[in-house]
Parts: sequence; structure tokens; C-alpha cells
Amino acid sequence: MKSFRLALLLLVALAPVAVSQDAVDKVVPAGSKVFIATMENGFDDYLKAALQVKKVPLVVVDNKDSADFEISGHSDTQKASTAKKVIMLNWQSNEQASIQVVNLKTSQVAFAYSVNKQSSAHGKKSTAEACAKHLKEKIESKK
Amino acid sequence: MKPAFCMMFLLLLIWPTALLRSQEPSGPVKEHIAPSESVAPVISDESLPKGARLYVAPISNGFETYITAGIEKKKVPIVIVADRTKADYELTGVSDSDRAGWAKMLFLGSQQTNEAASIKIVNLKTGNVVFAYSVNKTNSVRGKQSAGEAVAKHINEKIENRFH
Repeated sequence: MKSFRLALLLLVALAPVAVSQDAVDKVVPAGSKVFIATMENGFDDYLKAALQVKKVPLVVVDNKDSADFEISGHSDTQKASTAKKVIMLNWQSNEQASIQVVNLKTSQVAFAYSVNKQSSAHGKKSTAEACAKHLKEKIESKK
Repeated sequence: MKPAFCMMFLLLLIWPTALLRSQEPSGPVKEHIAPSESVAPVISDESLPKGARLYVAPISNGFETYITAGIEKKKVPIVIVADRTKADYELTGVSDSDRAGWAKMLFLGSQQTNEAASIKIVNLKTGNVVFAYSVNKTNSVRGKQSAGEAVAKHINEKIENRFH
């Protein structure tokens, strides 16, 4: 009976630690080193530029081994077709992109975001900046 | 009167051909395989626990990242890992996008895509399928993002045992 109580006490004491460990792994601290993986249509370059424009407090590194986090994702551009130009008098492209930030030590996805912009004013630049903006919000929330 | 008669004649001529076409099998005939009694059930009723570690396998058109983003947005209580060996469950699936053609733009004034996706979640220890879901969105407002969020919403319902 005593050992059962002891085990129960230990379980109750350790449960919050186990739960909070997952929460800790989801935090992206300011100043972390991130490696941006290659994406379709060179979206990784747009993302690097956007991180600078939006002043995201991250250090972008070229070597994955020296990084704490990895950003990977997908981007898709639908250029305005002739029909869209003629019928809707619209030359702007439709853009969609999605990124995820993986903690390289724990392999846990710390942050993920997707964006869809119909008739994007600045093409891929707009979607990349939307991703950067939300990543900055995540870092500043410290959650 | 004459054009109407011509039209009727043409219709009568085409009708049997169309009827024959519709009766032809559309694809290769699959052999019916009787279920073996020794094979364990693949689709199970087991629940998907909160805090489970899920690995999202690569899906065509990068749809896996949209699912991950959907799970994040819908605050689904699971942990997504990028390493399959550290996962309890694996999500696999297919995705397809159909872009708006000129006719859709001209007649419907819509440039939105049609999205279709189907996923399944497998328990990596038992090999059982614990959850499967498919979504089809015509004129998807936010493209793949909408489909990814629909998948995430239903995974959440499965975790909370509200999925039927």
C-alpha cells in the first residue's frame, strides 16, 4: 500500500514536468540560429529577405549542423492567366505558402503557418512577409 | 420544323452509342479478393490520445506543411515531430488541386481552386488505422490552407471523441 502511494505521488509530481517539457520544446527563443531549407521556386530566398525586412530576432545560418531550428516549407504560385487578364483585368498572381519550424534537438515542430493570397500585390514577397510576421509574433509571445 | 427534325434524327442516331459507352467498364476489372480470416482488422476504433506524437509524412504538393499549419492554428492537442522514429502515429495522404479554367472565370466569375485531400493516421506500434478522413472543397476560399484546416479540425474532433 505504501509503495502504491509513493508511486502515485511520484506520478502526480512528474506529470506537470512531462507536460511542460512539450511546451518548452515549442518555444522559439529570440536569437536562435535557424537553417532555411531549400524550397520550390526559391521561396527560401524570399523568406530570408522577409526575416530581415520584418526584423525577426533570429540568426540565419547556412550550415544545418550549427542551427537550433530548421525552417522548411512549400510555396505555390499561380500566375494570372490570359482569361484572368482579359475578363478580370487583373495581372496579379495567386500565392500560397506554408512553413514549419522544427526544433532540431527534439525534432518537434515548434511553429507552423500557412498563407493564401488571392491577387497578391507583391507576389511571393507578400506571402514570405506574412510568414515572417507571424513567426515574429510567435517569438515575441514566448509560448 | 426541318432543323428540329434533323436534331431529333441525330439524337436517335447517337443514343445507342452513348448507351453502349456508359455500360463499358471505365478501368481495368479488379479481381474480387475474399477477406482472409487470419488477417487482423486494419481499421480500428481505438482513440487518438491527447499529447500523442504524430509524424506527418511528405504529401504531394507540400500538403503536409499545410496540415501542420492547420493543426497549429486549430490548437489540436498533439505533438508534431519531424522524426518518424520518435513518433507514436504517422499521418499519410494524398492531395489534389484543380485550378480555375477560363470558362469558370468567364461564366462564374470565380478564380478559386477546387481542392481534394485524403489522409489516414496509423498507429506505428500496432499498424492499425485509427483515423481516416477525406475533404473536397469546390471553390476553396483559401486553397490548400482550407483543406489543411479541415483535416486538422476533424483530427481534433477525433481526439475529443466527437468524430462520427
